[in-house]
Amino acid sequence: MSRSIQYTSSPLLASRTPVWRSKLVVGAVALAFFGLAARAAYIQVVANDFFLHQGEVRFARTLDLPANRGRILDRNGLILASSVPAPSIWAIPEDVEIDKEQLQRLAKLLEMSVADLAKKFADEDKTFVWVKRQVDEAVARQISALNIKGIYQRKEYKREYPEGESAVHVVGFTNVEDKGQEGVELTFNKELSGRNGSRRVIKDRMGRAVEDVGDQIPPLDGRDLQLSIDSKVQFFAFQKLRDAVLENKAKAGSVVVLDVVTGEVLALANYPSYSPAKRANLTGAQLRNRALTDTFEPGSTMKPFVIALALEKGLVKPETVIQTAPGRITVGGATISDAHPHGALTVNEVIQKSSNVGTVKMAMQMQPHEMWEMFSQVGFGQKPQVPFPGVVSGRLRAFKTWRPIEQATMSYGYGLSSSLFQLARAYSVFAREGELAPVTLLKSIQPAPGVRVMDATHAHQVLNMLHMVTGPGGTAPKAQTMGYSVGGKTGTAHKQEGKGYADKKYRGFFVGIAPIENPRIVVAVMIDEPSNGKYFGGDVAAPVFSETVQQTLRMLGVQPDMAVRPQIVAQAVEESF
Amino acid sequence: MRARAAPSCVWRRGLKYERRRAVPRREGPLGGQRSTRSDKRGGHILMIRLNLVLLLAVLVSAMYLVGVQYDSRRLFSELDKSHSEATRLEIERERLQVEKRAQATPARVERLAREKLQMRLASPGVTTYVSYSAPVPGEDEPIAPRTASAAKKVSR
Repeated sequence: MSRSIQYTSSPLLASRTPVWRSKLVVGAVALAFFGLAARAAYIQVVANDFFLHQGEVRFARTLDLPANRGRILDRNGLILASSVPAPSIWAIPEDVEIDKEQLQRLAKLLEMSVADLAKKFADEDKTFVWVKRQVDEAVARQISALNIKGIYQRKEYKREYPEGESAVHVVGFTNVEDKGQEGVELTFNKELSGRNGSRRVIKDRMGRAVEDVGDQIPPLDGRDLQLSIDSKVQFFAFQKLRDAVLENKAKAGSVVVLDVVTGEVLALANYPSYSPAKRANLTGAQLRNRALTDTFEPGSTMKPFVIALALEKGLVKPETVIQTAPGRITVGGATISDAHPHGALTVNEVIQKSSNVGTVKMAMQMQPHEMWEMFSQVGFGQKPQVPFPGVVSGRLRAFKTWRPIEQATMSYGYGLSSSLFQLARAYSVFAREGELAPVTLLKSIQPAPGVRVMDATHAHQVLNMLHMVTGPGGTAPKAQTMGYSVGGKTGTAHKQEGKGYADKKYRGFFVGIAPIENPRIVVAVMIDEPSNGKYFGGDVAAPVFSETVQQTLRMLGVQPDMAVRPQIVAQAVEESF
Repeated sequence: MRARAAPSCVWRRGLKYERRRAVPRREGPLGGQRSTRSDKRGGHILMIRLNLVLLLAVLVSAMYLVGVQYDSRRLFSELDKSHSEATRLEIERERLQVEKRAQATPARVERLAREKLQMRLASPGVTTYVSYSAPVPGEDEPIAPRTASAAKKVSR
């Protein structure tokens, strides 16, 4: 038997193949080709979107064009807040290849412990981990010089606040996402942040952009914001306040400086404060902008408004004598007394010596609604129109609910509450001859029109009384300042605690105006719980007023209106060549 | 000159081509009408020359386009680099401004003036105010300093 099969004589070949079979095969192959051609035509001509898109995503990239956050400037254009680059360092733990020496150097650059850093790279399950956010640019450059595999940087910005703790209550701060969290940064967040743009480009193999495609949306930078704050005035006010709070072992303090001509807030400082760069462990006590968000009973600082009303109603004249002896008066079963009993006082002296009895005697001749109108016209019980988070309106109850004793206590500042800012603004009535100044936190050069509240002559009479307060025989000789005539009113209020008043806890205030002849500024000072022996407003708050006024007027270039004994001999000495 | 040389070369080749094709035709039964054929042939030659010229032009223009595109992309990426450099410098400038400002805050100036230079604050007592003899009314806001405050700070 042969080992091979005889193919030629295979019986299979012997059978006749029908023609239609080969035709069928040819037809099928032709159909397949046609199918391919049709498919190719369909993909390339009709439904080419998908592959066009797929092609594009492989070379076209959309780049974000970040908008810069606007700066915050003071009235002289000095920077209060600005964004600077601060790259964030991140890593893919799986990819990190780092040796001992590099690890140590990296830890040193990042000011972290080696153990902490090693722990961040240890978790290999994670595909992303922040090593440290927002480091200095110089540090970031050194890190990229280390050239460690698996560690990357992301471009970010952070806010710098050159003024630090003195202005932080006004300026506020932003969080790590560059969003405003407090102060002006929060209220004007929208204006400051701007809008990011984008552009679409084709990138080549090296990652370089080689062509623009499509529309480009340019970024819209945030607007710069110019505040009315004067950073020098702000700093001095803060410094003097801090010194006074520390010296009097007080809990806190605030100071407000208003320009009465333009209604601008020149300074608004609080203590305790904090540094915007170190915000760990912040407490509410540090964070609060007390001058705007805390209310208290204004005490004797309310008296000038009652006196002004009495003058308006024609009840008294500045020289009218009022008997305040024996230093006590009973209203509706309750006794109101003076801290120091006085005899017969003129209306001038009632303010000068801050007599409760004298004020109450005048107040009891008025209708409750008259007093209420006066108080609300100067802004008590109403929210000040300043763009700031957490501004409070204080409390001024409807006059219909006033009982006589309440009317009496309100005349010397108990039973209603206000913020220091409201108080400062209310005093602009006396500084602007009966007009209440509008207030603004943004710079404005034009003198702002006010709202007339009382007659100019009466405002002027009260201003004179305020001047007497700081003179001999007044409650606040310490408010005097060299070269400038000042006037103001002291206040010392018992602090409320629970339902009653705390025995040994006080607030000392001083609200004043300078210079008296041509008023330019109103300064209000509040010292909370002074506990180093002295607690009268004239002792704790007036010195802060005096120093703040001195520095503010000097920096505004206001010429002294009082004769000063020169301490230098102004002698023109020719300079030798 | 090259432009003219090229077609002539083509023409010659075209002629050869024509001749090769023409040979079997001459053997055909209609070999007599030679004059019309040569006219037709001349038209063919012209068309082919024109086509070849156009092909060459297309090739040249395509190469040129590639070159231009390459250049434009190179320049664009350079421009882009310069743009980002400009942005970087602007940001750097801003950063330096902030730094400069941080070095000149009232707090720092005050501390240095006190500690290093032993200066103290000027008060009206140590300031001589000089008024202009005839201040122009309404020239400035009324509260503007009418003084070139010749502040003499006494340093000890």
